[in-house]
Amino acid sequence: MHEWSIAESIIEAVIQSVKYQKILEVEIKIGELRDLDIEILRESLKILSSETILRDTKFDIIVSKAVFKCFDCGEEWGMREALKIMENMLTVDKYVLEENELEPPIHFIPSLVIGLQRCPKCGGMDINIESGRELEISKVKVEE
Amino acid sequence: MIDPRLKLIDKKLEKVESIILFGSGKGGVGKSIISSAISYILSSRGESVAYIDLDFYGSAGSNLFTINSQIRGCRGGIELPVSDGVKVISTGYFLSDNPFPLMGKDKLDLLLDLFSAIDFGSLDFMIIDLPPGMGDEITFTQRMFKDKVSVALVTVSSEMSLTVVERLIKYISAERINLLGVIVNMVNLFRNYRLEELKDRLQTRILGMVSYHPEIELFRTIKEKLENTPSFKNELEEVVENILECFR
Ligand SMILES: Nc1ncnc2c1ncn2[C@@H]1O[C@H](COP(=O)(O)OP(=O)(O)O)[C@@H](O)[C@H]1O
Ligand SMILES: [Mg+2]
Ligand SMILES: [Zn+2]
Repeated sequence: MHEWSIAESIIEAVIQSVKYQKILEVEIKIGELRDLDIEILRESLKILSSETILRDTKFDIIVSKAVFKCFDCGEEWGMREALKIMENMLTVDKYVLEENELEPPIHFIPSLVIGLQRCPKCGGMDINIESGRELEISKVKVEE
Repeated sequence: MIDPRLKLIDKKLEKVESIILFGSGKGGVGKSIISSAISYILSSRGESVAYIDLDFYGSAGSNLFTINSQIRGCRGGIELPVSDGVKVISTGYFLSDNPFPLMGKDKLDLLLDLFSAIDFGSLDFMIIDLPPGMGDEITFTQRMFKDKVSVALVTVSSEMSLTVVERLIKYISAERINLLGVIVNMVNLFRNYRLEELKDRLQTRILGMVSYHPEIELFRTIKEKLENTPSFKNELEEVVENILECFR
């Protein structure tokens, strides 16, 4: 749903970050927790950039898997397990209705996930998101 | 590294006229009660208002403003649900009673996510209910929204609370944030200052003095608390007058 507006903001931010140089390559990091459709994002970037100084720029999208880690016992788990843990903690009134479907709130606000996890091994709540929440323009390569 | 959410946030807040942060030195002094009451009263006077609960740990917003239908999402993000005339958001609507331990980086991430994911629409006032003290939430909103931001502080008239609020006033003026003034709550429980005395002591505008009204405890939502306790409502109406005066 929000791929388009994210593509828009990426393009605006990149254009603002340079002065007159030609932009050859842009690297974008997207974490699994962002719940974005990478193909739609790629397509949106292509369409939106075609009318701008980024029309010949190469967009490189790096996707990272979600990894959660328990500080108490060291257990690590990924997205699939995390979604299961979350479902057990959420009643239906906490979901968000979008186009007749119920989406978990983390679809819109990924960082809420930290309040919706328990360590699957020890039940601990002191949990770190090791990776998976990235949403950043990590590199902008310009012509020398 | 560039965070594209910053651009999204700029757009989402384009049509927000003024943002008022409700802060305090200490917890439990009435920030949530007072900021939600002000949101409700402003909205009854025809202003378009959003109440944003940023006290993630001590979240009270979902009790003061209840919603009884599913929150909706759309292309522009989450549509703010409306409760008693006020657009509201609180992490309490998504997490219920699950404790929500947030450390520095996680908190900043949540602030960025929240403000970039919500469709605020056009607002006359965005009222922000802060956690106590000078945390990331103040610096974040101040840096992001700059000239739109002003602060109202809430304190009780106890010596300890006044001392801490004095410190906060110093910080706010050093950061050149627009301070609307101070609301002194539960005045009859602590030392019964006269308004002039407090004004002299704090060297700032006193937006109002609010008494302790034990009856409000009997009701859940801020609307019920206000509508069933006229003396409480009158005091808050006066605070709203004084706040509006600052924007005239
Ligand atoms: N003027 C008042 N009269 C009666 N009870 C009050 C008043 N102000 C605050 N309270 C009560 O005191 C408690 C703390 O208030 P709250 O608004 O949650 O403080 P904070 O947000 O600063 O932590 C709540 O139970 C609230 O209902
Ligand atoms: Mg509070
Ligand atoms: Zn564990």
